[in-house]
Amino acid sequence: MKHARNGGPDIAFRVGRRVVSAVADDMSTMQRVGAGVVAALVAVTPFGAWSKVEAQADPVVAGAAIEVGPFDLTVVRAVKTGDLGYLTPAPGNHMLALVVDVTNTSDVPEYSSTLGSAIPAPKGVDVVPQESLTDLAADLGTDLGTDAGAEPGAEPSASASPEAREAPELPPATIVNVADATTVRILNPGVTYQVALIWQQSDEFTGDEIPVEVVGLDWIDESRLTLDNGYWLPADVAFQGDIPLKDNTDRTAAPEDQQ
Amino acid sequence: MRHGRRLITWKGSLLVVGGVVAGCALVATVPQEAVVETPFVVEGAVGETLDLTYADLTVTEVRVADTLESFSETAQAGGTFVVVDATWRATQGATSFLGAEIADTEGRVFWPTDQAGCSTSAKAQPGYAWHVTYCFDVPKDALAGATVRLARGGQAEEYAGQRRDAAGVVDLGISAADARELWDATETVTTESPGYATARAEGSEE
Repeated sequence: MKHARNGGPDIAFRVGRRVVSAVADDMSTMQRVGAGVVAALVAVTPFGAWSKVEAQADPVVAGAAIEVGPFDLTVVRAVKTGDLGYLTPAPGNHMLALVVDVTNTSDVPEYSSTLGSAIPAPKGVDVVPQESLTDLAADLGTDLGTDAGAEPGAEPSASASPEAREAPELPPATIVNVADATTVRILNPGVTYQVALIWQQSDEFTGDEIPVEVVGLDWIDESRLTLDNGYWLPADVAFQGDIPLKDNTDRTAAPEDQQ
Repeated sequence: MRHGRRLITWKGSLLVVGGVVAGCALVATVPQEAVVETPFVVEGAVGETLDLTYADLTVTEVRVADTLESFSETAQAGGTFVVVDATWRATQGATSFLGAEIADTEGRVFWPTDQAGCSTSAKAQPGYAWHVTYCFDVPKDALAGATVRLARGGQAEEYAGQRRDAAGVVDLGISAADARELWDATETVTTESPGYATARAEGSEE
């Protein structure tokens, strides 16, 4: 005696089996395995299988020591001011200084540019961007009269892409020794310096804190691309946090006075 | 005259095998890289003139300072500045002297600063002594037993510029007791620009 079959899931199963049979019957074992892998990948896609894994950054807190590459760092304070040592802001800007205590804990000297690569310019706080080569080329073209025949109101230069305009490259910090306002180039092992990482910031920024990111540094024994030996390579953001910004723009003094 | 096939003898086989074994043993036991790549280090003391083949080197004076002054700049040490006065007398031709570093007893190395008129390198024509002042910012525990290494080749990338070449290593003569005194003292050194060495600065040659 035949029993009535339940509908619903059973029908779906039978249809699925027929589809699989129709597709897989003529396949070799390897082809079946490959098709199975592809099907599995498609199945996990809606669950974020391709989403970039974001590393969790630890907090940056003023006064707390953190370890990055060969450096022990302590963010001391952030200050905005007018003239800072030999650095003078352009009209409409002021200087933004992030004061940091830094000790090179390795056995060999490090260039201060390595420290600069670990602490990029704060984003979203109107740090004056680095004049890009595209802009320079556009300026040069304008100076040479190559845009003379352009329509009034047309874009100054087609080479300046919208992306470049939207996300201008921020400059590396100028690094100055707070004790004497001289430029620090070498950080010798075991010596603690208080340095100021300095950028120009637009006067339009009126916030009372800045976001600070500290990028991790990975040691590269030998680069596969350039074959350069032994250097620190900036990696992902390892620490981030908001640091209160002290306003000293009514004062003009050397960095050591920006207390 | 001998004709026909040559015979493989035990003696001949033994000679070939022995040669191969001896060659392998030679390659395996002799540290060839160290032999051909290690710089030829010439050691000395302050005031002693070292013959580096391409130049005569004399470290004439060693001082310690918290502050360096030049006509345009004043520099404060993070640790303390070890100020090394030296003269180079090139003996073969115009020579650039790029290597300058201090090493401490723990194996740490320290590079010179270019602050306040100090030199990080030098270039001299042959036939006369050229005076240079190197300044190194070092921590307290690096002073005792420190040595300075000066050479025409640079020290970057594991002394790549000094391979198969001479380098002078001079003991700065700082004892543990000296180190404590030097660290506590608050000295200011006014640096001199590089230039022709005076008779005083030429060291033991005079």
